[in-house]
Amino acid sequence: MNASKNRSSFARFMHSFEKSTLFLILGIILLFSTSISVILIAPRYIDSTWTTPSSPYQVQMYEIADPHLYMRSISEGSELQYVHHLKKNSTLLAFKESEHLRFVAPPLLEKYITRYQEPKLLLTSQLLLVREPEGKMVEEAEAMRKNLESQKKEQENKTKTEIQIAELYDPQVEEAFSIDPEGGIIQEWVDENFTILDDEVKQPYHENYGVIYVQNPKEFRITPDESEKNTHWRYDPAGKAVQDLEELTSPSLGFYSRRELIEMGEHIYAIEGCWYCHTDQTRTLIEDVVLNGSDSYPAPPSSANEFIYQKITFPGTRRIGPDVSRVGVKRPSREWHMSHFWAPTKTSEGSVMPAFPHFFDRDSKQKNGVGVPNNRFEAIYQYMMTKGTRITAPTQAWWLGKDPIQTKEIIEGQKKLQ
Amino acid sequence: MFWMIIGSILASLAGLAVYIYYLWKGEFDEEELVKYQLFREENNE
Amino acid sequence: MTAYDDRPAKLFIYPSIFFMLIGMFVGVFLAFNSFIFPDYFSGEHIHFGRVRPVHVSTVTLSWLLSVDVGLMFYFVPRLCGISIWSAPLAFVGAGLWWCTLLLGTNSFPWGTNWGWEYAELPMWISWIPIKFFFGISWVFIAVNLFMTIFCRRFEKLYVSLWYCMGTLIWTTFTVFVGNFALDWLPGGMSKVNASWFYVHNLVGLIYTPMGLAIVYYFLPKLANIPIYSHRLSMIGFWSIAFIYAWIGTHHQIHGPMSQWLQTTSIVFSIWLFIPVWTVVHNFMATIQRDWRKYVESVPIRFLIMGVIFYLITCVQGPLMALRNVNEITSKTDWVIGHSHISLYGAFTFFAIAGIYQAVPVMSQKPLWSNKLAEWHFSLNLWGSLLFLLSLWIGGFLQGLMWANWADGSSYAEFHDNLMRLPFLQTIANTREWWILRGIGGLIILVGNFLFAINIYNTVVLKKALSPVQVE
Repeated sequence: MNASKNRSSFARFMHSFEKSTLFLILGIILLFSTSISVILIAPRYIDSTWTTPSSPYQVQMYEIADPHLYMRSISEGSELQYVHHLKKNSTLLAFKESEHLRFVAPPLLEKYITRYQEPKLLLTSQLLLVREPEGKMVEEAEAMRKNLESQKKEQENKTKTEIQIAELYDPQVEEAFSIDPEGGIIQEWVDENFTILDDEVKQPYHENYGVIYVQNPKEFRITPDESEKNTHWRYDPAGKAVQDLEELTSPSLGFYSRRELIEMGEHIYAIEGCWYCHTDQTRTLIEDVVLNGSDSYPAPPSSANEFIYQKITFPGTRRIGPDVSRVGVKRPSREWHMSHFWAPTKTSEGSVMPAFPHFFDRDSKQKNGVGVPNNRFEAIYQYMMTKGTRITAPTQAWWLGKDPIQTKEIIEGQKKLQ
Repeated sequence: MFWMIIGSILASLAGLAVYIYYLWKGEFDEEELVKYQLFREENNE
Repeated sequence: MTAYDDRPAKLFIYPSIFFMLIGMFVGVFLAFNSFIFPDYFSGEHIHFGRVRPVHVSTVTLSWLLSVDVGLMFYFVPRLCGISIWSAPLAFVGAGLWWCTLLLGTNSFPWGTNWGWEYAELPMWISWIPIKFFFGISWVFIAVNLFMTIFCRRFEKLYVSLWYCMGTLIWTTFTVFVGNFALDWLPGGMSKVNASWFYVHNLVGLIYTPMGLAIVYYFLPKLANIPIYSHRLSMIGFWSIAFIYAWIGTHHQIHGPMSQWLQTTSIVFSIWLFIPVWTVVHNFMATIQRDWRKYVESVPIRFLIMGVIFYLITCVQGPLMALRNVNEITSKTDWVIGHSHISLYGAFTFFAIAGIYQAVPVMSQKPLWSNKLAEWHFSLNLWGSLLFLLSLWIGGFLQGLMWANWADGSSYAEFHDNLMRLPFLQTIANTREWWILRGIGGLIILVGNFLFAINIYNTVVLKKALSPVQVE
């Protein structure tokens, strides 16, 4: 020990440093880096499901549909409205007749109409819209109506349903906004018997085996409204069209895209601590696929590629509340979620979940005693609705019993998991 | 996969080399003595 | 006689005791307001999701991590034979540490949770980069301790110093991965994998080495018996250093994570029996030389009981990683019991023992009241047992109820089971165990309140009010 005092302090430092610390530091770094390379870095390259999407439907929903579907999140007594942002040469549109809806169109545009009971769906990325017949088209609409009435008489069809006749027209714009009366969490999708009529389509995924499209877009128009409701405008087919996105998302109109709402919803899920009580994974266990399943079919177990579009993933460590990874299919009802967030113990007796009155604006002004939901509710609702609904295309959805990995057969012992 | 096996073999050999080097230098002789150091710390040694 | 500057140690230890009380009080509040009388006090800023991170961050960071750092500032200089390398650096580090923690851990009710397990501290609060400053304060601490070791007077390194150096390296890297690097990884399982890597190394390569370093120093010191075998402690150290980093995925058993990764984590989790056994054997063989010390000294009681809890948690953990055990225990209250026995039953007990030895030395006065210390231990022990047992039993029963849904051979039968025992019923059935847990937590809190009074009086009062035994 005394010998070291004769050396300079730096030499002493190096001696002390070298003696055991160097060995330890080297050893630790070596051991640690082997574990890091195998555990942390390698899996992403070995297991492709960690980075590849689950289906073209998932990709198109997150990248095409979500950013272009806008919602006016409810506030101050107005109605929930869904508006599509259509872009020429990008959004795919279809004009499909049904038993109660027929189209008339100028000769140039007739080819885009998928007539009633025609099997093949015609799509286009031209920007066309639908409206009440105007000008010359009024006569044509009347002629069509008389034709249909006489056909009905011939077939002794006693149904009283009114047939609506609309006009297909070209608004001559690059982008437009169309109203979607139903909204909903599943987008229109087609993967067989369809064709895209244009020479050059610029929707990035139009070569997938299936595509997302908007059906029968009707222009979104508004007029000022000075009535007692605070919205200052209301939807009016005869009103003024919305000019651009800036106007749509301005505070007076107050629309948010579904992508923004999903991101906000994910943020709310993080800060409200939902992940402390709920898990977001259907495990490869019978009890999980049964818990999340329906009366007659089990839910498929979660796979890594369901989560790739999330900024934060919340697998969860506790189930003080049930798992939410299939809630978009198990509980799609907006009304149910409104009641549940307002007062969980009323919808789910015995629940220990706290109430979330701050997702609502004013106290109960609605008939069932629930408050008026605000955009925080809309955000968390849209986020919840992405869970379980985007694994496969809706035509091959697990809730139709078309589960590709045949969960039911596996858990009944009829098939082995690969 | 191949490179990962090669990498881990090399890393283990490196670890073994570090260990043998310090073994040769005398790091692991008389190792039980250090536990008595705990009681001498208050004094000047 | 070397004079050791204990101000850095005091700067971390004294406030940590205060936050221990705060954090545990919030925990008891949650036990009652969210489980026994759900949403009794309701509101945006007080509901479970917003207050739970306050409890977790306060006890894991403001109490446990802080007191471990403080105790390292206490014993590292003493094991090196020189005073701490730079007191000013320690002051700056402590200032940054407490400011960021105070702001960060109490901001959660206003919606600042970062969203990842044990990494909830926000990146920013307004213009203040909370996480970044917290990271910087850690770097200051690490540099200070490393330099103290590099400039030491005693040549050989005692095992506590090995654990200390190891944890300084591991903490720096792991915290970086789990708190900052997550943002740069692809979305989905890549992030989740990194997050569990961080969470498990938090317990195994941060709290475990710090806790074991504390026991390796304070047990021989308090009992005046040298540790049983230095060689055994080396085996324990290197086996932990090798094994621990591979087991993060055991938090995702049966989940959407690659099967080979899950199996790897299970195998390495079982191998953990090796270091655990060496460590426990070492400590027990040490005290076996003189069991009277256990009876005479309260801190030794905390250490040995903590070692027993450590053994239990390290048997429980690897077993929980097995696929069939995991099917029952995962996602139930058993998990909460497991996290509390490790962070509280083992590492908090170790830290308390360290405080009992260090504070009288640092303030150069005997412990104010031995009677209070004995009460502290008893209340802690019995409260912990009630707390842990109720969670294990309640959680296991809940897991069995859920596994009941899988009884049968056809989907119709499975679904039938679910209809007869719906999820909400399993929650209702657990309530009585939550009541027992709440009572256990209350008993622990009372015991720790006595502890705080004892330490406060030891430090603050000028002389002993009654003849007390010097620890």
